[in-house]
This record gives sequence, C-alpha cells and structure tokens, in this order.
Amino acid sequence: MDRSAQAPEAPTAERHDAAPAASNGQAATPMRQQHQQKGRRVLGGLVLLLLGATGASLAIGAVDMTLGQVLAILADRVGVSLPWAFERQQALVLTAIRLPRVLLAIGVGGGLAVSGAVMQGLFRNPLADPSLIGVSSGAALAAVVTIVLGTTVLGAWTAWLGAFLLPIAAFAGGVAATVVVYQLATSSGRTSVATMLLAGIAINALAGAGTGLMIFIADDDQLRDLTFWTLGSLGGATWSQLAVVGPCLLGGMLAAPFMARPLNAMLLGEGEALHLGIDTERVKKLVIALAAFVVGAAVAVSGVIGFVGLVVPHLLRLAVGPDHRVLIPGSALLGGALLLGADLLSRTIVAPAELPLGIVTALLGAPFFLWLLLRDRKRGVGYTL
Amino acid sequence: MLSLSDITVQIGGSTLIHQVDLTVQPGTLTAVVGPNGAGKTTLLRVASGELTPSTGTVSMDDQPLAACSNREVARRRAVLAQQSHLRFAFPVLQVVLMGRTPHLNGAETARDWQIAESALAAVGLADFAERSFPTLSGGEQQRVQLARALAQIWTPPPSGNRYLLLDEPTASLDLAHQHRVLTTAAQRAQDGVGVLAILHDLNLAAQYADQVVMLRDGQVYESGAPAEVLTPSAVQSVFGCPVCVIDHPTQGCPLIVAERDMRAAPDHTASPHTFASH
Repeated sequence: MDRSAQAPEAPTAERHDAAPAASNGQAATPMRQQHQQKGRRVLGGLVLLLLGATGASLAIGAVDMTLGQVLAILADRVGVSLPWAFERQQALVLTAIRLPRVLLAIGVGGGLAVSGAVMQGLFRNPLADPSLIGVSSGAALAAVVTIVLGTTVLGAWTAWLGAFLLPIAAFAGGVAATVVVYQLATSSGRTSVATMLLAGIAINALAGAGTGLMIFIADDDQLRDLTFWTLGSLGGATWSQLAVVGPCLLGGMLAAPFMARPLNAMLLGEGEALHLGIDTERVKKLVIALAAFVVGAAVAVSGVIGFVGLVVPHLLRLAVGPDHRVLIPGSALLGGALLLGADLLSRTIVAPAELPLGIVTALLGAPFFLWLLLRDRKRGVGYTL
Repeated sequence: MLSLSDITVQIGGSTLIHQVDLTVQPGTLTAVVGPNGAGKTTLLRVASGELTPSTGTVSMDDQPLAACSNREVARRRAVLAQQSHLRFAFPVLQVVLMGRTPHLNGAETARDWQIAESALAAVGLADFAERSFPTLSGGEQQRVQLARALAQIWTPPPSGNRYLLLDEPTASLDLAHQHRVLTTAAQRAQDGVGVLAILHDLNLAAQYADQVVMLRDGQVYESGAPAEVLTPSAVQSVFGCPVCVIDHPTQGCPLIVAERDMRAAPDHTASPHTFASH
C-alpha cells in the first residue's frame, strides 16, 4: 500500500507533542537512545584507555616504578600519605620529567586529533589533515630558519629571547602560513574551501623547499637540532613549557565541541548549512583559527608529528560515525592516548636513546592507513568516506 | 509573502538574471520552468538568500532578507538543492534531524526526533531510518533531503509564514515518486506554506502549480496560471521545441506533448528576443 497515503503529517506531530515527557527526552525513540548510548559507551571506553595509557606512561621508563608508587608520589605532593614506599629519585623523575611529558603528550595528541577532526569536517574530506592549511610546514620552516640563521640575523636578541625564541618563531610561522593560505582562498568575504586546499598544498611545498634549503646549508650541530622540528619529540617537555602551551591546547580542545553542530551541517554542503541558519563564513574562520592556534602551539613544543591528526578522527569515524558531537571529544581522548603510546614506544624501544616521535607515529599510522585503503578496495567500493 | 523585486544578477560580466519580479504567496505552489541556462537555479539561490543579487531586493513577509539573521530565516524557510553533497555515513534519520538545526537550543528534544521520523515517513522512507545515507540510491537520497527540508518547517512559526524552495525535486525520481513528491509539496502549500519549485517537466508544473513562471535568458517570459502560460506558442518560443497542448483527459489541466521537430534546431542567439506583450 502506498506509504505516503498513511504518512503522518503535521497534525500527527502535534499529537506526539502532547506526550507528557516529550520535552525532557524520556519518551525517546529507540534510535535516539541507541545513538546516545553508543556515544557515551565509546567516550567512556576512551576515557579508560586514556587513563590506562597515562598510568603506563608514568610508570614505565628508565627509572621504573609501580602504579602504586606513582599514586603515592602524586598524593605526597598534595600532602596525602599512601602506603606505597618510593625513593626520592623516583619522585624527582616523576614530577620533574615524566609528568610534564605525559601531560604534554595528552595535550599535543588531543590537540592534533581535534584539529584533524574539525579540518576533515570543514573540508568535507576524511583525508584532510591539519597540516593542509600550511600550519605545520610553516612552523617547521620558521623554526629551522631560526636555528640556522637565527644568531646571524637576530644577534643579541637570540640570547635575550632564550629558550622561548624557537617556540615563538615556530608558532608565528605556523599562524603566518595559515593566514597566507586563508587569504589566498578568500575573495570578497567568501572563502573557497577547495581553493584553500590547493593553496595549502602550494604553501606546504614552498615551506618544504625552504626547510630543505636550510638543511642544505646547516652545519652538523644545527642538523641535530633540526631533526627535532622535522620529526618531532616530546623529550624537551618542562613545566614552564606546559604552562605556556597547555592553555592554548586545552583552550582549543574545549572550544572545538561548540563547532560540532555547525560542522555536521557543513557536511551536508556549504549551501545546505547556510540554509539551516549556519553562518558558514564564521565557522570557516573559527575552525581555521582554532586549527592554526592548536597545531601551531603543538608544533612549537614538539615539532612536526604527523598522522595523529589524520588517523585518529578517521579511526573514530569508523567506530561511531561522522557526528562531530562524539567525534570531537572522542578525538581529544584517543589522540592523547595514541600519542602517549607512541611516545612510550619512542623512549623505550631503543633506550637509552629516543626515536623521534614522528617516525613512530608514521610507522604506526601509515600501515594502518594502507590497510584501510586495501580493505575498501577489496569491498569493491573504492575509497569510501 | 516571499517577494523578489527587480532582481538582476551579474557575475563576471554576464547577466544571469535581468530585472525579474516574482512573488510566492503562502498557501500556493509556484513552478519555475525554462530551458537549461535560463537562470532558474540562480533565481532560486537569490530567493534563498544564498546569492546576493547585483540589484533588487528579496523580502520575506515584508522584511528584507538582508536585514534578517540567517537563523531567523532558516526557521521559516527550507531549501532543497539539486544535488546532495553528503558523503559521510550519517544514518538517514540523523540527516533528517539536521533539518531541526535552526530550532535547537542545546540538544535535540524527543519532539525533534518525532518530527524527523514523521518527515521521513512523509517521503515514504520510514523503514530507512537507520540506513547509512551514502548507501542509498540517488532518488532515495533526494527524498531524504526533502524530508530534512520538511522537518525544518514542520510546524507553523509563531509569526510569519513558511516557505519551501525546491530545486528540481523530481530530477532523479521515478514516475511514482515524482508525483508523490509534488503531492507532498502541494499538501504543504495547502497547509499554508509558500512553495517555489523549479521543474523541468512542464506537465508536472501544469498539474501541481497554482502559478507558473516561465524564464528565458534570465528574464520572465510569462507568468500566471498554468493554462495561461503553457501555451503552444510560448513553449515553442521559449524551449524551441514544437508542442501541442491538449486538455488532460482526467486532470482538468493542460497536457503538453512535444512534436517531432522536422526542421533544424533553431538558433536562439540569432533570433531577436520577442517578448509577449500583455
């Protein structure tokens, strides 16, 4: 029988509306409940994963300690005594070295993953990566130029700016590259997402060439410093670094969920989002600004760490679907956990030396990505989103 | 009333729309017809506020569109585009639910979900609620998008009227669904919604529209009741295709039947534009 003949029309909706619990959500449809439950379950699981990764990262390392000792040391700092005995050296290692490093890993990993999630939403392309808008390569170029030419150009200023010179240069370089890409893609108040993607590729290539040039003229000592920026590391994490960068990363992660609904609408298409009452130009501006700040801050303290921003939201989308309201907080949690795991590998696998973090994330991320591609090809659907 | 007055759209030196006036009355279905490139979609984009015209104004219930907030407009006016760009694997019901976006303050309520379900049922896809959107056929996707537009303007707003703008809503649909979609649109019109639909099929326009606007080269060639506008001479001069118009055997509306053109295809650009004078 013709379904439209019996289709409920507006008056039926009014009748539904009369249901007593309609407004507080008690009379939810099964799908609505499923939807919420699935989101909660996955986010809950990710919180546990992040806690587990944090515990492991705090306990494992050159100076080993048990989880009990970790807890006891942390409790001791706030004046609570726990029954696990620990040595002074363990306490020093944990509070001065391992804790800031773990917190930075969570912040950088979460920040990169959240930036990736919002960029993929904005570009309506799951292959988008925060580096697409030039922020990573711009930051790396600025850092590399500072290392190689810094003392020559800035002279005495180098000493005055001290340890903060490089992070500041990197952050400024990343944001500057993004502004260039954004301006190239914007004319008469409208930003073309497609042009932005192409402009990003060009700016990335230019910045890559510049970085290559700097590597070419660098001396041996400088080359060693350069590796940090081009391959990434969390080895230099300190509390003072964390104090500067932490708020940027955390702020970005807390702001991103407010973009979730507009980004969902943007996935329908820019025109559709506009017709749903979304200020699309504003969303584009905010998402780009957020990614530039978060990725700029991340690169400033940890160098260029690839694949986290690409793979984490992608992986999560397979598990929970494309709804940004789950995807964004989930990316923050999974990104943090994943980078903690990668960092743990990087500092234990060839201990006492450290493998650059970018190598570990690429080694884990690239095969995973290939597996995704091959899996889809076997299904005969080519690449699906 | 949704009214476009003296609209001209120039992009990159070419004039897409030239001095067009158009009104959509609440409670009626207005069909825009015309050959490819006549400016139908451009006109709809102007009417929706997506495209700002070079000159002229669009107003909704006597308020200029430019003076209203995007969200305010979205609560009363829904748009169905020609093509869907959604490639991400949202469940169908969630796509429809996105139609509620302009009405939300915080999370969707149970009522929003119910409206989404009712809207999905209205396009005959109630059983598709949990399917992944990209796995649907083109026609099914189009109907889901229509459900999303219906959900957006499901209930009358506290003030003003509702408008539904459809860009070729029947383009990828089979015969039965073409009629089902236009029946739904006509029902909305009866509920007081002002419907503006671009249609390629003149017979659908003849059958469902209260008013037909015929565009040629970005100008209104003729507008009025279907029987007044869809005359053999008008159709032939606008579409360049000889037709005969007969009375529909059962529907009481004109029925347009194309005739085989034995001459060479007429050259539009060479012929002087002759506009019907009324």
